[in-house]
Parts: sequence; C-alpha cells; structure tokens
Amino acid sequence: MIPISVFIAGGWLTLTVLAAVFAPLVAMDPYAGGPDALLPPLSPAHWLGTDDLGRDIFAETLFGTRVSLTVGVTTAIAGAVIGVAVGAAAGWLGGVADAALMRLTELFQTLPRFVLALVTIALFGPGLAKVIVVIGILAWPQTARVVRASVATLRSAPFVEAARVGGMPGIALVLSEILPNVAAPVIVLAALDVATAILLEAGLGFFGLGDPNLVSWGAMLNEAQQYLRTAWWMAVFPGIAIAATVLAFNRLGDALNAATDPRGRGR
Amino acid sequence: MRAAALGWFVLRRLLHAVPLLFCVVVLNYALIASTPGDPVTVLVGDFPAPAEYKTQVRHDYGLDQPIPVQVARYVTRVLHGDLGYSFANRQPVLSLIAGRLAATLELTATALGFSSLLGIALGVLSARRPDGVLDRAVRGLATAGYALPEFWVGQMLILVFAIWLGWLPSQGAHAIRGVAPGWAGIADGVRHLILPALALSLRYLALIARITRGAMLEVLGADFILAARARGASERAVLIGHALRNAAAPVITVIGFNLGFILAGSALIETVFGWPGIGRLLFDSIGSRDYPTMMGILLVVSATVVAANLATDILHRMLDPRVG
Amino acid sequence: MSPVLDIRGLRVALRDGTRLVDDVSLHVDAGEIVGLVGESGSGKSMTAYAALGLFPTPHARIAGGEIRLDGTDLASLTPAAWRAVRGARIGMVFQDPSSFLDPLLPVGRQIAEAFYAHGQGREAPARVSALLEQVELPASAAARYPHELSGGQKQRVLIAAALAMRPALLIADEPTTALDVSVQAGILDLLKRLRADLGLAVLLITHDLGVIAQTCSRVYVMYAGQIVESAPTAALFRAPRHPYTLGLLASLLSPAVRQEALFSIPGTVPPARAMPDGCRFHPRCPLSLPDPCAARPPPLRAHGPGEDRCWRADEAATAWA
Repeated sequence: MIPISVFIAGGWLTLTVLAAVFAPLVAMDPYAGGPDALLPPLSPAHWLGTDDLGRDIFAETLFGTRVSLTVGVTTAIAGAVIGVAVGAAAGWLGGVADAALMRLTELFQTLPRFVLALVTIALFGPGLAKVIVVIGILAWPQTARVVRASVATLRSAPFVEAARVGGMPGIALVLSEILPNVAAPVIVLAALDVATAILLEAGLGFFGLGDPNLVSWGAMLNEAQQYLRTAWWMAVFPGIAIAATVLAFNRLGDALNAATDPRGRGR
Repeated sequence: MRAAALGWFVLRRLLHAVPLLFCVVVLNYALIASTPGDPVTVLVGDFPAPAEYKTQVRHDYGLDQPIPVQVARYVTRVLHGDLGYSFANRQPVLSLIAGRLAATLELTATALGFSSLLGIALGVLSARRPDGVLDRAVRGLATAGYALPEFWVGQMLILVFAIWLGWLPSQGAHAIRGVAPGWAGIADGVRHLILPALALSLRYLALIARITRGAMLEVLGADFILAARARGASERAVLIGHALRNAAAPVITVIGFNLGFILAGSALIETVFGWPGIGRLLFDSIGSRDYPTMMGILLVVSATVVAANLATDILHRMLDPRVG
Repeated sequence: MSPVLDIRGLRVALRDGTRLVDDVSLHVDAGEIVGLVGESGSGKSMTAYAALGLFPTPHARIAGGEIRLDGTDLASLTPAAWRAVRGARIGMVFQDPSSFLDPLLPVGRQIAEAFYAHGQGREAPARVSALLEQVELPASAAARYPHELSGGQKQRVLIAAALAMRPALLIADEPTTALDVSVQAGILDLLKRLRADLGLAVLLITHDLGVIAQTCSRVYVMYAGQIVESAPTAALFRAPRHPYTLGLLASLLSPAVRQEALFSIPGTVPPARAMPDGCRFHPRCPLSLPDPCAARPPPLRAHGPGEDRCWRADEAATAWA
C-alpha cells in the first residue's frame, strides 16, 4: 500500500511542474516592479503581497520553480550519468583502475560542496549554466559507490557469467545485463540528489551567486533578509516553496527506496 | 599489543589522508589556473594593487613558468601556511581566517554538540517503541528538519523570536556597545548564540536522530540484546550499554562526515545572523571579489573535512575491536 | 521435595491469538538434567523463553498457565519482578554463542553483567575469575573480545555468564548445535559436571536425541506446541510410545537400518496458524486412522513412569518392539 504522504508529495511536485510550465499564463510578470512596494499578503491585486520594488511575490515564487526544477533535475541526471559511468567502470575493471577511480570518488566526496560551489561561481561569474555544471560535477560520488558495489558483485553472477561465456563483449554486458540491475538504487539516489541540488542552488542564490537575470527562491530570500523587520512575507513564501519541494523529493526518494529495497521496508 | 595495532592503524589512515589533502591543494590551484583571464588577478584579488606587487606575485608563484612549476610553488607555499594576502582587509589571509576562527568554532561546536546529544537521545527513545507516539513525532521532525534550508530557518527564527516576540537578539555575537565584563558578558554571548546555533542545528539534529533510530532498531533485534535481557540487565543498561554502543559506529560516521556540511551551513547562518566568523568573511570576500581570502577559506574548510574524516575513522577503530 | 521448575498448563500466543505453545506442563528437579526435544517450530524454545518471561519477538506473550519457580508463580509477576528473576534465579545459555555475545565488550564484562544487573557489582572482578575457572577457562580470558575466542570458548563464557548469580535453574537452548562436533562433548560434559557440583536443575532444549541420551535423566517430546510424550530417558529409548518419538529415534539409526525401519516422518511441523483437527500429528503419522486420530484430539495419558498423547500408543509401542 502506498502511504498517503507519497500522494501528497507527488501532488505537490505535479503542481510545481505545472507552475513552472504555465507560470506566464497564471501570474503577472515577476520582473516588472510597480508603484505598490512592500504590500502585505491578501492585497486585492497581489495575493502574497509585493517586494521592495513592488514586484508580485506570487509571480516570483511561481517563476522561481523554473530555476529550482531545472537545476535540480539536470544536475541529478548529470550526477547519475557520471556516477554510473565511474562506478560501472571501477566495478567492472577492478584492480588499479578501480583503486584510482575510487580514490577520485573519495576526493570528490571529501570536497566541501557548498563552499567549493560558492568559490567556483565567484571565480567564474554567475549564470544558470555554470550553477548546473558546478552542482552536477559534485553530485556523483555516492551513486558511483553504490553502482561500483553492485557491479562488482554482479560481475560473477551466473547470468552474467553465462553471457560472458556466450561471447558478449564487456561494454555490451555491462549495459545490457548489469545496469538494469542497479537502476533502482540509482533512481532513488537521483531523487534525493534533486532535493540536495535545490537546497544548494537556493544557498548560492542567497549568497547572491544565482543567475542575476532569473527569479529564484534563493535570490528572493537574499533580498528578504534586509526587509525581515518590515516585510516578513518576502521571506516566508519562497522558503515554504523550497521546503515543500525538497520535502517532496526526499519523501519520493524514501518511498522508492522502501518499494525497491529487497530487505523490505528498509530504514 | 592493542596500542601498537592502533598506532599502525592511525599511521595507515594518515598515509591515506595526506595524499588526499595534497590532491585538494592541487585541485585548488587547478581552479585558480582555469579561471578566465589572468591568474594573477585571482592570487591578488580584484583590487587596484600596485603593479610591482603583481609582478612580485607573478614571480613568486612562477606564473611565467611551466604548469608543473606553478603547481609545485603553489603547493609549497600553502603547505608552509602562506595562503596569500588580502588587500581588502590589509592582512595575510591566514591570520585573517585565524582571527575569525573562534567565532565560527563557537557556533559550529555548539550546533554540533546540541544536535548530536539531542539527536542521539531522540533516536534512542524513538527506537525503544517503534511506531509509538514519540517515534512518529521524531520521524516527522526528522523528515521535515532535513528538508528545511537552514538559512531560511534562521530568518524565520529571527522573525518569531527577535522581531515578533523580542526575546532574543538577531545580529552579531554580542551587544553592539561591546562585550560587557564578567557574567553579564557571558549571558549576553549566550543570548546571541541561541538563535544561530538552533538554526544551524536543525538539519543535523534531523539527520542524527534518523540515523541513530535506524541503527538502534537494527541492533535491538540482535541476539546479544536478548542475552543481556536474559541476564536481568535493566532497560537502561540494554539501551545504552549494549545497543547504543553497537549503534555508535554509523552515528559517529554520520556526525564526522557531516562536519564539512555544518561548516558550509555555518557560512549561510553567519550571513543571516551577522555572526563575525569565517562564513561571514566568505560572504564579504565574495562581495568584494577578495579571491585570496575565498581560496584560503576553501582550503581551510577542505583540510578540516579531511581531518574530521581521519578522526572519525580512528574513533571508529577505537570503539570496535574488530576493525583491522 | 518440590521441583525447582514446575510449569503447568502453559500457553504462549502471538498478539493475534495464534498459539505457539498449548497447555504444556513439565517439571525439573534440583540436580537433574531434563531434556525437551522436538523439531524446529515445535514450540520448545518458546517454552524455554516463557520461563524467563522474555521472547525473541515482541509479538509473543504468555497467554495462560503457571510457571512455578521454587513454588512461586512467575507468570503473574510485574516486569520489574521478572527482571529480578532473570539471570539471578534462572540462567540461560543460547544456541549460537557468536551472535549471543556483544562483539564490542570484553567477555569478562558480559559475565559480570548479571552482578551489576542485580546490585552486586562490587564483587564482580573476583567472581568473574572464579566463574571462568569453573567453566575451565583461564582468568585471562576475561579481557578478550568475543572475536578472539573459539566457538567452544564462547559457549563456556555464556555458561559462566548464566551461572554468575548461582541460579537454581539453568536453561540451555540448543547449546551445542552451532558448535563443531569435536567440542560438543566437552560442553555437555561441563553441563553434567556443573549439575553434579552445584546441584543445578537443567532444562536442556535440543532437536538431537543423541544429546539427550548422553545427558538427561528424563525427556519431554514436543510436537506442534504440545507435549506428546514424556518418560525417563532409558524408558523412552527402550520403549517409545508415540509415533513421533519413534520417528525421531529412527532418524538416529544408520541409513541402512533406516531403510528397513517402519518410521520415517514425511513432511514438516504444521504452522501454528493452521493446526490440523484431531491429533496434530495425524497427517504425518503412519499409524493414523480416520477415527479417532483425524477426528478427536488425543489427551495426554499416564503410562507407567511416563505419559503419551496418542490414540494408538499401544500399537506404536508394539511396532517398535
């Protein structure tokens, strides 16, 4: 039986995707300021109020889904692809290649991701593409470890042995026989990585290192910091959006893990 | 004999950690060298520095030499404790960071201590009666706590406890007029510490409670727990003396390996609360394009993570006689 | 003299009502080793755990009957009073010494645990050495971790821990099953010696009639949650009266003889949720009849020095002879 919280999480994520796609149809221009600055929520024209430049908070929050989802999903996919490639290579090749690749994985796992991302963006200049590249490059080590462990054990499994005897070359064997078997944990990790990436991106935005031309939740919170005393709504709504979206991805990842974990309910 | 074995273990882990640290430094230089434009800008910072100083830096770091020489010079300088000079602050980066270290340590150590103690306690209590009222509450808290961005939690705490209720201060490490003498000063410091430490703790509290609960549940099903109960051991002795001791390894691993994250979180929290630590320094150095300071902080944080992982491994080994 | 352990009409059930142990009565006297034998799933371990008021699964509980230890009923005790009994008046030894010892504590600490649990921690160090000597281990073993000891040594440690508080009763749940054949005899000899030296009452649970033959003065045979036969060991081996006992005895015979033998038991113990009507053994019994075996449950009837629960015990006894 699927727990109700999973439905809620799925429902929220569906809403977020819809918001990202149809934001221009539903909300006004999030970049256009107006004469009504710092209006509180439930104002007739601005449901969630306005910020210091008179921009509509509802519109900004709605458009903010675009950056969060784009960064979250693309970096998770990038992390999964790199992780599977490194992990499969290490597990399949074994020996020196394995040792070298795992040391590399360890190095990347040791790096303090957020600080490194901050410094890198500060050096290279802000921009959505750069944010995606930096977070994506840092997102793969755990996937690599999991895939390596599975591939290393599957390498000697009877069905793989049989295919090898049947004359299948290594790469084809890894792709067709082994990877489907590690798909479940990789997808689970990817779902959790989306959540982590959204939090990282929000942190970068809060440090003023997001894309200056796009609305993002982190950047909204950065601006809200100066207006905490006068306009609490500037901080409350984007924060709720981040928390709910991260929560939903985490919940989905945990549920997937519970559903695919052969040990039953898992942790 | 056991002491000697432990010594060898520490040595082996050190031989593992040192190359890792070396790689981190090299990676740092790779970052500098691959920056678009003149690397000397990164080494000096975006500051109208005198031309002769730039020439001096170019020479010191061998920027006119082949790449391997550059790397070697950079690594040598870093290993000698030379992290460069911050023009924005008119101070060597190392002493700049050292000056901010105490504030960051105060904040992170408080948060880590608080989240570890409370997280372990909550995890143990919730594993005692799985699916009980407390367990459900702890699981809910853990799920929510892990999803909240810590800097936003900080803002919300400021909103509620500083602005609306007016109970606690929201900015700085002590009152603006200066540190009061004696107990008044200490009390004032504690009052300033509460909100940022709480905001920084929540995520780790959630994580530690969750890991402790899982590990405890696994251990509590073990045969030796039944054997201890058959000897008449009290519930307390079973939970703390046997179960928690056996569950400690994953918990310590999580705490140790998350030290880097708590430092990163500290960067955000210090910014929200105007806390005069390394995180705030990082924020300011980004604003003023003070690259040497940024790189220095990255190095210090990375080194701390390597050291924390090493300490975690050793602690793990000391707790479990079976680890070779 | 009243028995040390006297279990009467014991029932153990899961929370959903499934009965794992149904109306079991048995007693153990001081200075006596009594065997409780049966296949896995017969309820013999659950009977033993019930005597400690402690179960490996949180879903099991005592659903009825009396457990008298030196005359007082334990079944009605509060949890705190149960705890005062465990390890002090009843000691327990388990099947797999590797998994029943805490891997992170020196074994001396685990032997001493009963002293601390029962408020006698101050005397622990000296008494741990004496206990180790009693189970034929050097005093230096106290500082060792479980992974540094052999299986037989670990089982001796568990025995020492069970005896720490000088209990009147020792329950041994398959104490030799996980051990190498070569060390099994040593453990059984140790149990026999401790019985004689300390006047200990021992309830020995096993699936192995060979172990019973070497150690026990009396035997209870359990099947599907019930006692199906009890007798002095010699009498049971000479003249078994329940077809299930016959089957267990036949499995001790050499394969060549077994081929000729009347009794080899097909199938397995029925699950507790799906007990057959009538005699619980009838679906596997070569002597069963539609009536009465499949229709009415047989009562436990006294016969000579023992008891049996079979409508056709006389036929079974004749068939074996």
